[in-house]
Amino acid sequence: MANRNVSSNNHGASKECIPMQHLMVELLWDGVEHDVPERLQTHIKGCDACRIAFQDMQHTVQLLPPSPDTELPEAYWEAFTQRVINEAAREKRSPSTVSLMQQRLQTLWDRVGNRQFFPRLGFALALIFAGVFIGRMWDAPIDPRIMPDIEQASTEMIAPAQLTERTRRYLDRSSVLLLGLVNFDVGADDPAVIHMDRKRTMAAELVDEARVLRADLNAGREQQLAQLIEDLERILIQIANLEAREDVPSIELIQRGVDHGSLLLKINLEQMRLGDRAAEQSTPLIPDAGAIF
Amino acid sequence: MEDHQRSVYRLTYQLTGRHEDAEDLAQEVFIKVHANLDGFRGESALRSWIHRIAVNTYLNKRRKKSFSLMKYRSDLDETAGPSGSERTDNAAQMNSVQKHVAWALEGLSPKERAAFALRHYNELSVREVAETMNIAEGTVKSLLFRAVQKLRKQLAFMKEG
Repeated sequence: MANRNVSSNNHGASKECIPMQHLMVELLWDGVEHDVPERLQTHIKGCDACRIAFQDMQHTVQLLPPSPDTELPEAYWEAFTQRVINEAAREKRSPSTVSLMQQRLQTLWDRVGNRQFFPRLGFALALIFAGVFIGRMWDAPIDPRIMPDIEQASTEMIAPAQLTERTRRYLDRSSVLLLGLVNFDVGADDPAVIHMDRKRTMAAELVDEARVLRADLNAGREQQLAQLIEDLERILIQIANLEAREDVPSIELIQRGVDHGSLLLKINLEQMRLGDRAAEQSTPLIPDAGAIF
Repeated sequence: MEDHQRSVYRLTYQLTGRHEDAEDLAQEVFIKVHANLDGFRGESALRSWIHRIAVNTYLNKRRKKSFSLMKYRSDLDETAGPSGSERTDNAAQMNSVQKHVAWALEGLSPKERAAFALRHYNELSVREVAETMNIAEGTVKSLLFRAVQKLRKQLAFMKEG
């Protein structure tokens, strides 16, 4: 066939063809007998590629059978409902703090009403005081054998500074990558200018690094940063998965994702916060002699 | 609720093409529905809301899976026809139109498949598909165009035969 070059990724289609392709999609499921708008008729008269694509697509949609039969017996749904209820109950979080407090207050009032409550309370308080007193008397000196552990912990104090630096560098690289995509004007710019291959490679490297960094941040109790890295990772995966070709719809999706999650704003805030922290961490605890005199 | 369960299962089956996957996905969807029902503000129909959860859950699952198994690139190369890939073996065993179509649907990206299932099987309008997938209408049209083009290519032998 002469015009078989109408490929799935629109190669060979001119800029005029893209709105026509959108129009074709609108008409596809309305049947062949549906009126074809004049502008599409005019276009396909002069564009063999679109004419053949339209005919083929209509034929393909007609070929496709309706939804596969998915009817399942009644008993299946009863079991399914039961499974969902069980699973939801298992995953359900503990009752809200308010209702828990209400329950506890109610129990407390019930107990206060009981005659034996105050003697029992007095006895419990006496036991607590006795325990505290014995604990203080028992205050043993530090076992020298645990000193190496303490030394180990103090050497690990360097780690937060390293982690801060690693996270800062990671966020810097990520923001450069994201800015390149966010500043790309889908309607006006040529997709070739954003060097998709390079961006995909960079995103893939950052994704690999994200896993380790996230684990380290969680270990360092930096949940907020770990969450940001996780959010970032999702977008980076999308970038790493982009087609090398001009995958404009996916770029638009990524732009929306970055915008929706206010990712660049969050990165900027964290960069500022980490910058301050790095300055604090690099400040020596004991000022040097030159600073004093 | 059973109507919703059937409708969600139908959608998850259209998205995954396998009973086991559809069942797992539907179960996950209903657990999310159960957990978030208080947050449903009635701005859309309950059915649309549940379908949105189903599509998002499907896309998330596919994203994770495609990332871990396919390492950044889909191995479902659109150019790989019935003569060239692992799927050939599966396709050789398939003898009905339904199975050929199921095979062809495997070649779509998750988003293309979701857009196609919502438009073709569930007869949602382009606008409704866009709302369900939380994307622009133009993006839905591009996804549908690419989906049908890929299916056309994969099913060309049926037309010729």
